[in-house]
Amino acid sequence: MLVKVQDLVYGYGKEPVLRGVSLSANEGELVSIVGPNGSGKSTLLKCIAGICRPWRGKIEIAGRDITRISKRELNRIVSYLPQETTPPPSLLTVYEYVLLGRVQSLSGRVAVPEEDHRAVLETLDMLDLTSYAKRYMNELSGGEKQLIYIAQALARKPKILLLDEPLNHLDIKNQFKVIRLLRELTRKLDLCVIIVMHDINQAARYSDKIYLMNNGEIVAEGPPDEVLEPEILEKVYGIKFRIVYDENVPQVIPIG
Amino acid sequence: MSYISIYKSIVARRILVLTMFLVLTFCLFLADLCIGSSGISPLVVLKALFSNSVSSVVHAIVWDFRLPWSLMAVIVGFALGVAGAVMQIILNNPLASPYTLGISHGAGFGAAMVYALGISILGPLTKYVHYIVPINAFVFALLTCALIMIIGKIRGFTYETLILAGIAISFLFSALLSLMEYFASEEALQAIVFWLFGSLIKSSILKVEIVTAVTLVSLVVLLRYSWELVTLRLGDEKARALGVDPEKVRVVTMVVVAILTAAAVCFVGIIGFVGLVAPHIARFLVGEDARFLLPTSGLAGSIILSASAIAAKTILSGAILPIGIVTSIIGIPFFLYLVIRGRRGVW
Ligand SMILES: Nc1ncnc2c1ncn2[C@@H]1O[C@H](COP(=O)(O)OP(=O)(O)OP(=O)(O)O)[C@@H](O)[C@H]1O
Ligand SMILES: [Mg+2]
Repeated sequence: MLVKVQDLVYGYGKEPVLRGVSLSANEGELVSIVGPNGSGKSTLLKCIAGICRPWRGKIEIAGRDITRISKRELNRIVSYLPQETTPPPSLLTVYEYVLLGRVQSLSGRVAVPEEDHRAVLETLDMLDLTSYAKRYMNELSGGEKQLIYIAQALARKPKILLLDEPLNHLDIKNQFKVIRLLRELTRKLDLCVIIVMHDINQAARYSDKIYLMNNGEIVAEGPPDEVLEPEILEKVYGIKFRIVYDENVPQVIPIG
Repeated sequence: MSYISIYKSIVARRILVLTMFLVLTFCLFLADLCIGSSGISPLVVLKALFSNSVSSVVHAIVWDFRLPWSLMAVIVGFALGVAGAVMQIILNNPLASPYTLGISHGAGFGAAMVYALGISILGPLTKYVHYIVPINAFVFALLTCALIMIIGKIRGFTYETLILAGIAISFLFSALLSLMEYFASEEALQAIVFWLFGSLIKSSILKVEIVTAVTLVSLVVLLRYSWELVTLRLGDEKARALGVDPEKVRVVTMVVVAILTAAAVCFVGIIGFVGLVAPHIARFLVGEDARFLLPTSGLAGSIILSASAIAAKTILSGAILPIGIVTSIIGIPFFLYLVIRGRRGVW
């Protein structure tokens, strides 16, 4: 297992926000986390990214306890895209922004190594963003910015990708493009991708495994057709759903 | 387009700006050196620098006054420019300057203490007043930084904490400074006020050498943190996600900047606005990349200060205005021009 979380408990104040969460994800797997607002999805991702220190429980990255991995090493394996970001400064170009994804390898250097340039350009190319390279970040639309954020996370060439609502602000074509690309990279490079998202139908179509969270706990997990049961969803979201199948992929329709 | 050409075209402009600033700094330095009230022609000044074929009076004027003043303007401007650029980044605030954390007030109090009470941290005054004042100013400037470190240690080194702590400490030292002024004799008061205006006239080659050494070492250390500093501009959350510890970067760079600023201020007094304006000029021209922003901001500082030094000597014939006043008068309109005309936003 590349990522293994066991009985994780974590909170910001006195009350825990994550109340005994277990999750695992392997190489070549795309795993989605879905659940209502405030259910603890982002918090879980922050813990796996090593930004929050668990109260109890254990997180293993590539078989090693996360507390024993140095920050530097962890950042070589894991790339994390936070949910919300402060607006980027006005005078930063797209190229530089994506390059900053590689700050770990640039640290302490004045000249940018060839390898980092290559990583940036490859990533921009994969997302069809090369023509944006010289634009300024604050001159981009919300969705264009979001694509650059994704590019920055990818430019690090991680083994494990943690993406918190990466499809936010993207139009339907770009959503499709990004998730297909992630799907493809997962297979091709044997990545482990964990995505938090709200669109259950997209999660159903593209993930190998879905974790459904509610109130700091995992209430269902497994392949899409096992998790997307009307009763389970109703209990979590408090509204009724109908499940239809499109080419064997379950799709949910809220019916109130 | 290959990556090399994209990156090169982004960087080429910056290298051009940096080069132009370097040339401009040198030209202004020469101009500053040649202009003065003693009526020595530029040619004679150059002659005095490179050969011994001038009268001993001219030689003394050039070597003991003109050269140290002009060099001091360049190096202090550079130090304040670099320090201001870093402060604005780590405090995430376009209004930040090298003095935001109270360093100027600390230094001012340190100097005033010597003038008013005749004592320093080294004990009672000796005959080396020329060095006791800077030393005391330096120590108290760093003391403000130490106080901020203590507060940061307790509350965390977020920019909000640092700014609030800086303001509080500025007020504290400014009150203590007023107290010194209250107790000072007429003569001492005049010396204090003069010190606070900022002036290059107490420069000497040794002082120039000290500030230069501190500035070069600081610049090298800060440049090593270039990428981390740019990352801080994306917000702490993002920096952390990219594997940078924003608080650690803040602590290290803040200490370096404090030493740099204290070294500059302790010899020349409080020269305002250079450290606020220079980073904006530089950012406007070279963007956020700290590898270029820091040196360009430094040179912008040198340019402002050298130009101010020239203005200080020429505005009123027969009198030299305190340079700290001049920088504000010529710096601010230029700054406002940038704010008003800047197309891409200034922050
Ligand atoms: N920094 C914080 N300080 C205190 N409480 C927090 C903080 N961040 C999140 N919380 C609380 O923790 C709980 C889980 O938050 P989290 O951000 O993990 O939810 P989420 O599942 O990602 O929600 P969303 O779908 O809205 O992004 C929420 O109740 C929230 O109020
Ligand atoms: Mg969230």
